[in-house]
Amino acid sequence: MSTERQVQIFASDAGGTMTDMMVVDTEGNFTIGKASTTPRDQSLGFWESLEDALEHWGIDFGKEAKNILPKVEAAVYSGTTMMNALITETGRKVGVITTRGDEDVFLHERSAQKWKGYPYQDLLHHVTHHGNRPLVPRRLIRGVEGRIDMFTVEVIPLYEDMARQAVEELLDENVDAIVVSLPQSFVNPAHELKVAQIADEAMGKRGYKVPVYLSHQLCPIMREVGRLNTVVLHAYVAEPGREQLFKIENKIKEAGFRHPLQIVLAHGGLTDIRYSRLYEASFSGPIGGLLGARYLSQVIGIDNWVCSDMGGTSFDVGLIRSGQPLVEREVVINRRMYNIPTLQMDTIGAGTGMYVTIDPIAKRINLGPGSAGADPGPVCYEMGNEVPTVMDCVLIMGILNPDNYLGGKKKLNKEKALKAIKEKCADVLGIDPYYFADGVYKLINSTMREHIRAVLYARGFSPVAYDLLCYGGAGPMHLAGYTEGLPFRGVATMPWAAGFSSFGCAAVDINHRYQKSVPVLIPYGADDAYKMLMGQLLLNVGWDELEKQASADFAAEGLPWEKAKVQQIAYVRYGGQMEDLEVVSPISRINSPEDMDRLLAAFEELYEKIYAGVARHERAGFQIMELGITATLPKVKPRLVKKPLEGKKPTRDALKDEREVYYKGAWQKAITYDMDKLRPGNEVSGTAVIEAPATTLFLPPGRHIRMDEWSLLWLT
Amino acid sequence: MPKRKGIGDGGRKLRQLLEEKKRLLEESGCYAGITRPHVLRDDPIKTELFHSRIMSALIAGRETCKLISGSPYVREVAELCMGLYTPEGDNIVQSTGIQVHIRLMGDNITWMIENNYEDDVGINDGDLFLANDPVIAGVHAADLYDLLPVFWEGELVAWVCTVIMEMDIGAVSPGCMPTTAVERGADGMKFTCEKIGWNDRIRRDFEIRIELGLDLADLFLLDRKGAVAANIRVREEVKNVIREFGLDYFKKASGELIEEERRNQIARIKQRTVPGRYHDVVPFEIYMASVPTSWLPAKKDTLRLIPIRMDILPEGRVVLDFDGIGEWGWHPFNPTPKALWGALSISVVQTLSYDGRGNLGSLLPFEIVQPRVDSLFNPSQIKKLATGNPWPSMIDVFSLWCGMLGTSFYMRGFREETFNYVSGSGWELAGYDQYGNKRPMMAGGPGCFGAGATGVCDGVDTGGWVATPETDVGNWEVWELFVPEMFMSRMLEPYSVGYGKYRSGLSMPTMEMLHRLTIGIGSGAIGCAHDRIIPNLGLFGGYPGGKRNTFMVRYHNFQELIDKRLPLIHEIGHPREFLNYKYADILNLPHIPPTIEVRDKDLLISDNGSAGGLGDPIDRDPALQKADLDNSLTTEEITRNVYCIEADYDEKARQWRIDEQATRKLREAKRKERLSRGMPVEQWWQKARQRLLDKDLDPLLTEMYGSSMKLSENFTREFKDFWGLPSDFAF
Repeated sequence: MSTERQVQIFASDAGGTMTDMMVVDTEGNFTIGKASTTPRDQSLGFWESLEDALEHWGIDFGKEAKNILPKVEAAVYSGTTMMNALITETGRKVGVITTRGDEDVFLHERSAQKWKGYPYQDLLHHVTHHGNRPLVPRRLIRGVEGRIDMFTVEVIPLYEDMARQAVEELLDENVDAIVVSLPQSFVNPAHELKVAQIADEAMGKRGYKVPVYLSHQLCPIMREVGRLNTVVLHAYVAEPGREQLFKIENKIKEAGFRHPLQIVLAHGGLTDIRYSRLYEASFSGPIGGLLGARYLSQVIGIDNWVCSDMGGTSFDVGLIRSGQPLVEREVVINRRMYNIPTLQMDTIGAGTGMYVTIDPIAKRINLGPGSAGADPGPVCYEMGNEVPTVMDCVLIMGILNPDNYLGGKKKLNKEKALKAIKEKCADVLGIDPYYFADGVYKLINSTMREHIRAVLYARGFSPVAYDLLCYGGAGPMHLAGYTEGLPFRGVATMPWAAGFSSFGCAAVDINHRYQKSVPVLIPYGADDAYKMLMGQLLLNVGWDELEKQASADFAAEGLPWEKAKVQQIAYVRYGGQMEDLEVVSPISRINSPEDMDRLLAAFEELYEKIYAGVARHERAGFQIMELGITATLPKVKPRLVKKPLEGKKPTRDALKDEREVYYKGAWQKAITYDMDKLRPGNEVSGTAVIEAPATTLFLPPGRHIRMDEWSLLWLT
Repeated sequence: MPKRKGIGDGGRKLRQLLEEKKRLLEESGCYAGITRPHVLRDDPIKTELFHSRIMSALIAGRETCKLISGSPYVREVAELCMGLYTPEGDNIVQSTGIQVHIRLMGDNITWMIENNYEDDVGINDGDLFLANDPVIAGVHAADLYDLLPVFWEGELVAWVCTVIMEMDIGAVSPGCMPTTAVERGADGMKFTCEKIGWNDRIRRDFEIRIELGLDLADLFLLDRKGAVAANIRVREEVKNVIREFGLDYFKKASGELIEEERRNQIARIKQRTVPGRYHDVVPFEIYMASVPTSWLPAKKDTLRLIPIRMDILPEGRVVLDFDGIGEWGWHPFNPTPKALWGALSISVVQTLSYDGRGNLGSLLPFEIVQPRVDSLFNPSQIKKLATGNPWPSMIDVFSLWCGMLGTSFYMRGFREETFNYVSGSGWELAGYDQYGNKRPMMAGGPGCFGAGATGVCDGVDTGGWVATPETDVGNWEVWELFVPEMFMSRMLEPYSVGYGKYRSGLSMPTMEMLHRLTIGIGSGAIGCAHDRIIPNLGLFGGYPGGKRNTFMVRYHNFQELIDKRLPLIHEIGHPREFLNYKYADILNLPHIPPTIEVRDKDLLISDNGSAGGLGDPIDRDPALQKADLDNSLTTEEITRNVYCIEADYDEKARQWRIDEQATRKLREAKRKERLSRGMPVEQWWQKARQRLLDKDLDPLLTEMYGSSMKLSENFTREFKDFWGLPSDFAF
């Protein structure tokens, strides 16, 4: 290969240990590279993964960077930098000003954070509940008297002397930043603004400044605990994370790259790294696959996807509905609750690294809750773990090739895995170790299948309206099992499953999302005048405000606002309900009572689709508690190439070998194939194992796979 | 198909099936006579697949219910739960959520069968039943059970149930759990396993009854719709499971899940506890003299002794006996015997059977000896009594039980499993809210209580309310949408703690300032009712949690106070200093206050104390105390006086430092002081005995012991034996 190939986009997905890089050329071809993540200076890992990716195309990036980078049109980052800083508690020293009486907020944690995210066994087991260590120690929190009510009225004036003292004390503590988050500030920010002014004066007198973050500006959303967590997150890790992003941008710009580095946001948006609410990028890692699926929807015309991603520790399921992922607004990440719009991913602990044990009393097979992760990893890694894992089971069954793991870079010890499974599990139950391993394989597949079912059914959706997409390195090994019996329209994976998340990040449009809480109440039988009043005073003014903010951000990032596609959103519920639905508004402004009716009708139509008819309750009237807009601008994306279909029979070079696989209680002969050598139109029937360097697809007897013109592999 | 006689298995009547199951259990000691369970053991993999299908369906159903529901108790505090039951009402699988109702939901089904619903009312596919009468089954009327039968080819094969706690059931003001309600009529709407719909639809006439009968009709109806939609969803999934696994497997596996859990529970009890007899006792305070109620005989204060005896038998069974309990009374705190199972369930699930397989089998090794008729736990007049607030006495005694079980765990070496718990009261209000509607109101979350210390570490701060493992206090901004209040404090209370080598978790007093409330009354609800007696004793020398208080603060002139920027109340701090606050009248009320008038800007405070500590406080590691000082979780006074630790604040380092030498001296001095205060047990016993002989007791205590003696000869004998009292001694 030479440098005639023109690189168009590269997109990284920086995990805790590895950085994946997806590089796309102008023809839509792509290649994936990997390198160790370099936490102190992420530009190094970013650069090395680029080198690795381009090496597959025979390009020496070290030498060719100055020729390649000026022509690249987009560089995208997504990753866990900020998340890691959060986990390791290595963020900035932040001081917090909250309302008087709430200074213990990080100690009481709403109580709920003491169990959120627990597996079922620990959730019920009371003595396992415990608090998180506060990111902001108690001595850096000050309470200030003053309250505003839900109707925007000041009930207790701000005690300004108290605020002044709070600021001075925090500055005396040498904080790096001050967060101000007061109740009801999202309806009336007067007190937060006043505190900011006081802080400004105090810092002026001292002759230096630290940043002051106001909750109503960064996160004007109801639910004060999540709002405060969010703004603290921003101050604690997001802003320091920005420095890392600038290091990456500087490194590639020095070598000739001409655009700003872009970053993926948790709700699937993409923005310049200078974006004001950078906290939205804190948790962008796991959503790449959903973005890839959204892009597939646009390109190949499949609107409804169930996206499934199996990793070492967890199994994530997200939905693409009518071409769009679902967004949730209160998320639990790493046992804390945040008001961050995030693509909905329902996660359970089900991964290849999950421990398999036998309950000493019930003699019941326990999967998890712990996982061996990548270090020490499964028994077969020989890195010190002696407790069998799901991967050990799959290995002894013959599904996984001990000599082809990570393209053969890591050898797996099958004998050791077998010994551990036999002694620690199978012998305890008095059954054959292979039968046991097969059972575990079925169990983990069933756990994932039930999770998919629960995700769909809890929202009132049915598999018959969806295609399932499988990605992540481990997913294809279990795909046939975890989709068995679910009546999906189709089940697909792809040869680049292991890099699909970074592919998704490369395929994102520039997209900003803005939200704001509003108190709109529309009683049953409300008259036209009332509907107009609510519509114009609250909805239209709210949307105006959000669009103003969006256009300002676009201008600051040098983006053409006039070319942006703006979509209004309203969160609607029946009066008195505790949860609402995101309704894509059929109208951009309320200009007549009928416009309001159209918006409410859109809600009811969606509601009835999701819940049983019995659940409609229009007599309670309607509430809209939150508004939003999205502003989208197209960006260059990897091009999925439609290739001509070839024959059903794979070419000879795709055929690798054959080996014995234990499945459903018997050893059977499986043909092995090289996934990278399969061509569109090729079909393979089980029992077969199709191997790629970073993934393995298992095809049980009676199942078939067919590669379509987009190189997707469809399982039937 | 031949015409069925009954809707049960093999065309039999449900009643026949119920009687047969009872007989088989009695005869064999095994659930449904399953003496040799094999279906699950033959294929453990299939078992897991089967169980996970049903569990997933219940969890998904519960999520559906949360999304539709109108109740902040569902959204912010997760007060709901779902379960799958056998045709006779035996729980097979239980979802996450409030764990009180495993057996109670099923008891409603059993009651319907015993009352011949099959023939007289009719049980058909798509019928919707609603229950909330504790006389039938339940704890209090605020818990609503939605029940849906599952039919397969004309046969009733299971029931799906959902429980949700409601804020308004039309009771006398405040409207949900009124302390002033002493007669049944004041309890509000009762649904006695009533058929409220058919063909999966709620009857319109039922909706009209609710719309006309309740202030919060929309919330109530949305909760019903959420529950019904969730039940339907689970029912359909159960049918899918039957299609996949076969009806025969479904029935056999359901029965064996219960029997296997019974056996596993026995194995856990044998593994983790020490057989023997455990005793404890708690006096329960009932202050009704000043309660405004039209049934005048209710107006008196009483104490009731609640002894609890736990026999852990070598074969792994546990027998609970409340022999010696005092008499029932005209107040809303009398639980029904069935309600006791609710209190037992929450403790059992979270201490022994938390592996996700909990069901009726978890409770089968337990026996609750039927409390004496006419006792507090079994009032003969139960059908005439209000049952709005039975939790206080049950929480007191089952918290003790949890401590007894913890002691047993500790002795077996399971020190980390040892703990006890606490509950407390909250305010319930009625009045005109910020939108101008008159209605009942309750807010705040029960997640504010600290958990008891364990044998290896301090108890968790807040979140220690064991009624549901998913305790939460929610968001102020969400609660303020629903109630005319401003929440003024979520401060952890250093004086709430049960001190010890390991302390209990800190609790948060709730402080709700009435705002935009016009015309209102307040009263207490739920929780414990202790003013002078502190339950939740610590373990192994640990202190009990702090005293519970309920205050109403009426600022002298709120506007003037804030105009002058004077301090408002946000925390209790040292109780003495708190009561000296000079800008308001502070009413120190009974812990569950009777109905009182409340006004805009009044501050209502529930200060609930916490659970008990574990071990002698002067054995506490100073490093733990330093961390508490640095986090403002304790005071210098407590550190010195209780823990005998000398510490001072290092201004430069901005943290506390421990003076180890001074600490050693303080502790030595404390040990000497204790010895000087002590007396031989014999001497103490003599003094106490003399007080009894002289009847030198508060009249409430005299009446309390007299009441217990009246009901129990055993208690009388043991009491007299212990104190060496003459045989003709009487109170």
